[in-house]
Amino acid sequence: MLTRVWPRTRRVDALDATVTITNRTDAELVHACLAGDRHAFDAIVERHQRTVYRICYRFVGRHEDASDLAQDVFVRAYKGLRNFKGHASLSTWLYRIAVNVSLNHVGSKTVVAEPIAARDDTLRAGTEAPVDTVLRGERAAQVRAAIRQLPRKQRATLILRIYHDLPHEQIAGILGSSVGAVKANFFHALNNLKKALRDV
Amino acid sequence: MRHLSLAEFVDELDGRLTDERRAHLESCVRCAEQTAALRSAVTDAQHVESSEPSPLFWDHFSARVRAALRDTTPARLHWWRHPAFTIACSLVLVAAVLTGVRDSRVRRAERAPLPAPPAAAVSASEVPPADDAAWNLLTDVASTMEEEDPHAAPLAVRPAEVDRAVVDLSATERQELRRLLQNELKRSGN
Repeated sequence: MLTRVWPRTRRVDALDATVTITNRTDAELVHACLAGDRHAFDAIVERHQRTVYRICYRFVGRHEDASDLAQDVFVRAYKGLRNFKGHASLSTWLYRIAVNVSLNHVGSKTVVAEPIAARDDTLRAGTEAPVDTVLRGERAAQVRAAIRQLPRKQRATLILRIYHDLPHEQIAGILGSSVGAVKANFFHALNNLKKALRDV
Repeated sequence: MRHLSLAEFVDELDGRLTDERRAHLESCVRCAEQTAALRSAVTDAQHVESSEPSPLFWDHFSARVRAALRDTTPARLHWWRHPAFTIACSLVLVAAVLTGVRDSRVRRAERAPLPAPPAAAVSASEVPPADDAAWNLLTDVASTMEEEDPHAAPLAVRPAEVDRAVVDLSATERQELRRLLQNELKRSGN
């Protein structure tokens, strides 16, 4: 009995490859990448770019800077992929690079946040009075400024906990400290934030 | 009454404080005020929204990263950092050390003066003939006897017995004994 074999098109092959790559675990993608598969790193970028960008954005407060830093994070990760031992998850490793790159950036220059109008106005347009939008924007700017004044570890802990909802254990892995130290940093970060906002 | 620790305040924010400690929190004004301040700070921070880039940004971003990496390769493991090379180097090092230790011992042994060959205890003329039964018995016993055995066995000679044996010797035997003692004294004097 003859079985007809349908010719596979190039498009179908590409689709299969994409599906295969996106189904792979992070560890498999790292392995494939080190074996010379460039598409594997594309998949890593695709998978983690949003979180990495958001971490950078929370530190620098400007879209342009955040996108530059996020790109830098992935370039560094690619160059240093051999150093990824798999002791922590790939996401923890990438977020650690993101935190370090961001802290180095904000430590090396004065961060100029985007004007309030460039960000928050569009979020609730049509649902609140203009005066409330302005007041909320001002308060947000004050909070951002207060967070920027926090010591490095406190700032990183607060950003990862509040804005990324990461568990203390993962934050400890990212920052290279103990869970107890993370909790202490979080406590002090909130206390200092409250004091700074009281003084405004 | 023990107030909440820093970690316990954070546990309370996470809703993980134990019932026992929450009972304290509910009865302690100071801890309750501290918790309220922390909650307020969390609320303030949470109200700062992040601007989300346009969905098109992500396609653009992937392309940017790809372009930045076009001429880059993941850092290769240098051959001298390869585990196999490290193991091989360690083995060579251990072998070199062992060889060096052995050679130094050999050289030290070569430099050390050789011990003088033991002087003949007795001359050929002093050796009793092969058919001397007493001598043969003595040498047989001596050859099988360990160094400690004479003391273990009651073979130690008491001083009075030595004197008596000398007195009992004939003139010829005494002369032979004197000769043997003189030879022994000469040899130990060297």
